[in-house]
Amino acid sequence: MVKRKYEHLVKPLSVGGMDMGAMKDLKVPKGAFANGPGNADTLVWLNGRDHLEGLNLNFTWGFYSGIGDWHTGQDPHTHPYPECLVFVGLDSANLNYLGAEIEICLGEEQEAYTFDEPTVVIVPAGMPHCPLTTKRVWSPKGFGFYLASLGDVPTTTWMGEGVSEETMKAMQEEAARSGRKIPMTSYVSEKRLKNNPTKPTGKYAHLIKPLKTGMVIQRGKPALDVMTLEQRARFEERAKTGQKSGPGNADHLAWFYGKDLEGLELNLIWGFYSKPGIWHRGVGAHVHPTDEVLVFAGLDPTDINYLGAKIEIDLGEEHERYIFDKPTVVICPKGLPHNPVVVRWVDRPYAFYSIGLGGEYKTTIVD
Amino acid sequence: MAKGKYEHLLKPLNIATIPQMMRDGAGFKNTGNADSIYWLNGKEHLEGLPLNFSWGFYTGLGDWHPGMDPHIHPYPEALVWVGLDSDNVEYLGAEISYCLGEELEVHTFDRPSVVIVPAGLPHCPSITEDVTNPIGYSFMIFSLGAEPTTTWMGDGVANRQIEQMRQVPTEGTRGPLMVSSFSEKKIKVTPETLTYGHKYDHLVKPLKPFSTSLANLTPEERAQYEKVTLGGMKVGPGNADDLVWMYGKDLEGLELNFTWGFYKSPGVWHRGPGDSDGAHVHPSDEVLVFVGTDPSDIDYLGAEISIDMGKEHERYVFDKPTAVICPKGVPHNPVIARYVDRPYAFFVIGLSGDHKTTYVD
Repeated sequence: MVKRKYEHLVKPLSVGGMDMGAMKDLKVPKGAFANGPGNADTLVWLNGRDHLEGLNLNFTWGFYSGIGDWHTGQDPHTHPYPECLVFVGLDSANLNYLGAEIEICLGEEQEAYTFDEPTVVIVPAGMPHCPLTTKRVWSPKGFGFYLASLGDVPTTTWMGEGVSEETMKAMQEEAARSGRKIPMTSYVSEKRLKNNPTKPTGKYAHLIKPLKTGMVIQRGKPALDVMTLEQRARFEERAKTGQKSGPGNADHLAWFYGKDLEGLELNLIWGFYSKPGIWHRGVGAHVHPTDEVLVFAGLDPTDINYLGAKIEIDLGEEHERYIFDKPTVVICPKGLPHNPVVVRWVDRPYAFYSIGLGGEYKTTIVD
Repeated sequence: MAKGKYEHLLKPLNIATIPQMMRDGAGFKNTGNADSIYWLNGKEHLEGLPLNFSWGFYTGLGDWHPGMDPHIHPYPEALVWVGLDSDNVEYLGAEISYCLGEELEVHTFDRPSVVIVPAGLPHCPSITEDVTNPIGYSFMIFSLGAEPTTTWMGDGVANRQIEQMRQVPTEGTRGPLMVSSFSEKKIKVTPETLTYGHKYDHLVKPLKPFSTSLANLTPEERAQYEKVTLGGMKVGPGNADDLVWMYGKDLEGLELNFTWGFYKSPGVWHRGPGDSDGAHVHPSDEVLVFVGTDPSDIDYLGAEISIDMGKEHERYVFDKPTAVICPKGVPHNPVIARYVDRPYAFFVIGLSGDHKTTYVD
């Protein structure tokens, strides 16, 4: 097959597959990575160094149904980069349904914040966060979760009392022996904190944003009744470019910009899609002055490699077309024309999220 | 539309608008004839295919060519009357009477129908007796000749009409739509000369739809459908809800097969087999015709369609009524409806009695 110019930018999410079952079964001391009962049933984790053409980003997608701590004994932890933790439901008819109750501790104080609706948690670089605990799950399908972390290599310093250098070493050795690659660079902090959640004072409440505050499309139409004036202005600005929503576009969509995310150089889209057809009418390709990734994910928690739809997207000014029917990430470096997106068929509603590495979503239509 | 190797095979139907002189009484604009019409022919528009075809909207009552009929052609043809109710492919919304043979045998129908006319068989007058659908109906000619060619046998043709039809076009303008000649033998059409026998019953056939849900297929239809879908092809979301497909054996052995259907939904037309999503070739030529269903604007399609051409999968996108010429052996498809604002119609004209298909990719 002739190599195509942009094929390195289109990757199945399975390139970042994590064998969670095997990781939980690793014969390592208690407290090793991913050893918590609340952690993912299935997970992919892609990073800029290994998968995303050097982008300053690592992100995950996973399905969760277990109850309990996600990283028993290891938390709190810090990263040298900021990140957003996005908790989403799997009911494609209702973007506001999570189907679970989550508790996350923020800061050295381990202020414990609890929510039971889809939510974005913003974690500034260096801020201790977690333990993260799934308190209850009432959706029979569980829920979904993804990280959007602004570093090209997942890097974590664990501060929990239940982890030691020996634990880390044993985990690495076991992983090497079994041929598995651990994507995370892990350190153990000299300063250790006891797992001790405290009542929230509100100090970190601004870091927790319900997804509904970013809702811009509901039931396939602009969510004019819940949009803020600023969201409406953005919507009208886009309409001025001549673009209209096509039949394949989102049923429900939330969109967060850097100013909604405590000034991060990041904008996030999360949506559910269920129909065939083009996503945008009246425009062809566009470019951004910043990098972004487009992530197409399935909603079947029994099979993380199932998308349930067949999708085509054009890349480059040549409009090279790429077609996929598995969960896929499309990397769009700044300045690279991309789109239209055309959905050929949909067997099961799927999810789409984009991670744009700019606080704004500047777009120039190119054709 | 993108430029490419195959762009000469995609033709907006409006390249073949009927010249004004034809509408002014020299040809076909009479009370029962088309309100608006395209007529493409192999010589000028279809890359030399031995085919000419029309698409038009009709609302008027009366004779289509007063005084000129019956007429003959040197090639066979199929004349297809269809309705414009996209929810009911079996509804015509009009009553037509049609004469066949020198006997002027009258056949009347009020549902979508095809009339098969062998080469050289006198046919017409065609009279619209009634129109019950407020938006009228549509009609298509599929004629197996590269150039519309007619010998008129009616005894009511005025000398003025003959002169106009023979007029040499001025420089820079298109010639007459049709090569017309006038028979020395004239046939008089009066109520007394019409007959009501059954000699030509076999040439008049209702269009029989089958549902793409496969419900109610006869064993023969199912076998034909399974032949087409052999190898795992499935119907995609953009495909027709109900479709008429007539083969040569349904058309008195003509080297012709055609489809007719309404399309309402976005998405790909065919899923699979394999990665092809319907990309295939035929051992015979065919034309794919995408038309709108708004009789007030024949240039409106109401949808945006993409189709791939060639083994390179060159993609073409259009949102106007368009004919796509698929010479034998040229891979074509998938077809994807990007959006649909109003149900549109589609017909295939295949220049063989069956529809042999080989999927590629």
